[in-house]
Amino acid sequence: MMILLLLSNSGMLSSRPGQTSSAHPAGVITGRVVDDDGRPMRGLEVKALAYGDENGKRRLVPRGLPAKTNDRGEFRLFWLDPGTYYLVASLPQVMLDRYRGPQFERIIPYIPSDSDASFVTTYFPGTAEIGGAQPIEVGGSEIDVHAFPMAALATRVVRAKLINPALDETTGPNPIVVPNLMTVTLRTLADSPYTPSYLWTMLAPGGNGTFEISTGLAPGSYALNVEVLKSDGVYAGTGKLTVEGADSDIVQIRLSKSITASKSSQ
Amino acid sequence: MRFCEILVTIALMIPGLLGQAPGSATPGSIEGLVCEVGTCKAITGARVVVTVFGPQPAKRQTLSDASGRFRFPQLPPAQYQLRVDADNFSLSGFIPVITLTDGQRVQGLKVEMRALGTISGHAFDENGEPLGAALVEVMTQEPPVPPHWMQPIASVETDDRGEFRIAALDPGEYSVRVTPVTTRSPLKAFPATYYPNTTDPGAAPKIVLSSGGEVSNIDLKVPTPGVKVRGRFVRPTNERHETTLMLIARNAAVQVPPVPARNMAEGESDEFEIRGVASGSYYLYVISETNMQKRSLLGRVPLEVGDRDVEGITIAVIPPGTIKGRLTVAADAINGDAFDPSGITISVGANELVPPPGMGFSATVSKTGQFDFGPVPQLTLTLGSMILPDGWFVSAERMDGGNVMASGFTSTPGKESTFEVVVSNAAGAFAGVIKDRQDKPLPAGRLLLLPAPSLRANPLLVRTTVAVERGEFSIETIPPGEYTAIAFPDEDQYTPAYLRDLGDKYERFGQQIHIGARETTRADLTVAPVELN
Repeated sequence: MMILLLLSNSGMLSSRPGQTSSAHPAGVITGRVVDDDGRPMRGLEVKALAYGDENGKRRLVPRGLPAKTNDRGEFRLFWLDPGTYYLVASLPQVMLDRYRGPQFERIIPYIPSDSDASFVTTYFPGTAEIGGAQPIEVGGSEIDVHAFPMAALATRVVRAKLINPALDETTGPNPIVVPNLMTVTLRTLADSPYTPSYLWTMLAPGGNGTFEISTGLAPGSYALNVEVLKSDGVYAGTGKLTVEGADSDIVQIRLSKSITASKSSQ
Repeated sequence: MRFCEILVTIALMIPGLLGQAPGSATPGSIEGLVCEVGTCKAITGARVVVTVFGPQPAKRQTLSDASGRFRFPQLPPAQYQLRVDADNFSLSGFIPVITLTDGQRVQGLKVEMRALGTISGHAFDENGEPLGAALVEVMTQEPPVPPHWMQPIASVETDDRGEFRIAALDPGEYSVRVTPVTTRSPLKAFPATYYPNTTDPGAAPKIVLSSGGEVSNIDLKVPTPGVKVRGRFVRPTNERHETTLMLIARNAAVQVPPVPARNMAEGESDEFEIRGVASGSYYLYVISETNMQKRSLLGRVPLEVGDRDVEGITIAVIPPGTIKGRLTVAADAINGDAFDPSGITISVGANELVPPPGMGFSATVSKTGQFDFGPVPQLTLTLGSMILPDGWFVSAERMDGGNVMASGFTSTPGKESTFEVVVSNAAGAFAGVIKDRQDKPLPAGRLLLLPAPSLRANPLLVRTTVAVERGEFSIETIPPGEYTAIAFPDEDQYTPAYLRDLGDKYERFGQQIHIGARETTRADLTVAPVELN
């Protein structure tokens, strides 16, 4: 069970009077996100999480507007109601350029000092485990959490093979061959108050339908969901994998048509 | 601007482990330095990736150290591609493929990067209060000659203090604008405002950013909250479809890409209300039924906006017409029977600034010369460039029998029209030498060939070229007729793409040219006495 530590008076955080506004609550959390060498990390999304009800369960859900770190690694979450918050920082997994669309393999992602590891979704004050996240009490003042580092985990290669179930089962499974956009989502199956999903947008594989993803992963069980957008609809499927001390076996994902083209256009 | 942001490496490749040398090959290594162009100041923390191609492609990555150096040891012999990325830097030049032989150490690679710049400032509302959660965009303007277009290339949202900071910008000239994020704060509607406080993009001063520089204190102030524009749509049928509204400035010196205007009218009525509109002259477009299979219904009204709300605007939503067509061979063509039209793509585009999806349509011609655009909104359209066999050109365009070569054409709402494209190979050619004002041949001199004034609205009939060595030029496959040829010096501002807009200004320096069928007209041209930046 998570131990709630209210850090606003602990010395790790500093506060100053926030701006007053009649239209918006005055709560503000500021800080910087850095890599494991203290270098600023730019373009990360930082969100404030607070406990709320989600489908009858007590979960951490995003509150207020997300922020993006600038070239100095700085972020500023504002218009927050008074309350207890947790910070989560993540690197956008889809390189979506607002003006140019998805950017495939154009930018090299951040690399930790250990080049065999990968940066992962991180909770303040710098942990990959939600259990290690520390709460921040926001009242009528501005809270500065200063710099906190992104966490890195050993890189694991997740390999998957897409199977097209529309083909005759008696001939055995055949790979789906589609030169289309594909979204891949990886989500832990562990019961957690907050479960970030790792999402990639990429071109669907041709050839034998095999693709692979490299990411930092903690040991555990995960669901790998794939959606392939084709002209006649969306094909989707899910596979499960267990990560231990090495890369997982190839995950077989059986795709089925989930949404028709006419429905998706509506 | 570049987004250096992604969580993991994505690899669509056959599994392979770099560093496991196949067979008995001796591993080699690649070493180098990442530094700033010119000064070679070390860049620390640059991300360096080496990728090997082959049956088992794989990659390795590292960071440049405090002295900018990087090293990849234990690499098997192969061809490698090196990629380097660093925040607030862009690659200067390119990195060639590296071929590593058995046991080879590749050393002394120097990867030069150019420092990028930053623009920062604040946004304030008309009362001087900070504008929070507003979209700030950095805009570039092209081309240097009219019609100018301003395009956003990077953006951030302001914080609660109205602050913004946009990094990783190439050196250059920019404008900055702020617009409300209507989904965040729908009641705070204001027009797009350009630094420092104008709603006219043409009046926005340029912000000059140097390599590695920072321009701060770019403070934008919204001069006016704008007014409301209210009205209703009149639809051709009782069917309800999602509608999109767009305001596009008329007669603007600088155009910006249109964005949908949010309809704040409540309910699902046919009424609309747009908030935060700046004074000016506009076209208000409504697009209904954006399903591409059915094409859009389109309506447009001119709109004058002052400093008061505009009420009672009525926009008739016009159903599309259908355009079918045929491609035929002109009577003067030689061996025209052998012309095979199958597979040729015919495309038409709107010759005015219109919102998507009504921008353009295309169709493939059948073996019998037939094509079909299907439903097309009522827009003025012109034929786009076509890929025809060598020596062939479009000699006529007819809409329901009428000549539309220069005027363009439009669909008739609810009716079917026939568009005919006539092609011929009875073309002429033009060749000669471009000379400077001292009568010396001018390599890379530019040439603009204008048809008769009545035909200049057709972009296909305006031709440009660049002279080669000794100032020689030639243009092939020109429709016979009378032309004006104007020569320009070898300057960036007179690149062929921009020449088309300079005809009126420099026509008096042009030379009259007659192009005959199956003839080559020769003439030497002296460059016009143009203004240089």
